[in-house]
Amino acid sequence: MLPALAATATVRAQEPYEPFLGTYVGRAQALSAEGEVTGIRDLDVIIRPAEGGFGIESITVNHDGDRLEPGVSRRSSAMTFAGSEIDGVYRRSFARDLFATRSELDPIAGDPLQWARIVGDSLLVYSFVLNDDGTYELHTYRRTLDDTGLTLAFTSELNGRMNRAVEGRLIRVEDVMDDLNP
Amino acid sequence: MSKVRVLPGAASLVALLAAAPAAAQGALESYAGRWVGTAIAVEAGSWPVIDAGDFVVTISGGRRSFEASWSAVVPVDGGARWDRASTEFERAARPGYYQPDDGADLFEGDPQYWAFAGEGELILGRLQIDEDSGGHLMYVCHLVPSETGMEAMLVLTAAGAETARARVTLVRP
Repeated sequence: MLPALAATATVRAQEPYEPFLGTYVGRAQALSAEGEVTGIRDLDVIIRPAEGGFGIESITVNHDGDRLEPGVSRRSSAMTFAGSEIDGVYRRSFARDLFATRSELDPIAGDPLQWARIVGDSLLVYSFVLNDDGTYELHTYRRTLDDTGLTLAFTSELNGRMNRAVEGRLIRVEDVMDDLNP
Repeated sequence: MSKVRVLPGAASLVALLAAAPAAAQGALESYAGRWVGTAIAVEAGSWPVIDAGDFVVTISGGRRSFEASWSAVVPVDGGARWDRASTEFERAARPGYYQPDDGADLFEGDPQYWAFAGEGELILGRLQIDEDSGGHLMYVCHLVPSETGMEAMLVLTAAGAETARARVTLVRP
């Protein structure tokens, strides 16, 4: 009985972000405020554990339907989030670097203020920015888990009005490191 | 009393330097005073709290800073209610922007305030994360001087809710 109790006591509670950890690939449609398709996005997302929380690495290839045609662009981003004083809310965190000049961003200076939150099966990432002309933008990335991957719903709001969106689907894939891969 | 001799070329520079803060002060002077009105929803969203609320804003200040006290919608227990927000703003390095000197931390539940004085508009903003629900609530007040006083547009954006807007016609009581 005692060993069983001890074993139970050592079971670590799962962090709310752990179900989202993994590698995903997928595709999405970019939409205008009126709901018209304005482009295609090929998505590559890795969500992995990081100090105090988790990190999201993302590569997005933007094209009009054929990524072998000129005009294709590729964007990548990597950010980490660590737990905050508010339960369920993770703040953007920065790696400790001896030469870093700043550890926090200042929204009034124009830096984006970013945070994440988990609500049920959804991982929400927010990015708030104050523009030079006094307008403000809030970007929301909602990634919702299902049996085989994630659905993505991105919205960009300018002064509280939606001005563009992205809707897509990603499947969970095996992440293989292979030096011989061509 | 010592006499200060000003060279002709330097005189225009002195005038320019004197005019710069005066212009900034003038931009804020048109908003100074106490203003009252009633907020009427123009887009209800899912936050009826923004409708039919008594709205009061008081602005006072000098060249590099001002104090604003206004009726704000704040998060409480997963919902929202009207409350008073009072903040001292000082001019930020970024043109047009004013920042509070309060050391607030959004991620400890403190509200993040900002202000922007643009052409014919003063914007007061407030963003807060509800400590109970973890959801954010952003409340932005756009003040525009009019012939009879001021017009205000209030914009309320909250996590998981449609944006609500209310209009207020403000007069000096």
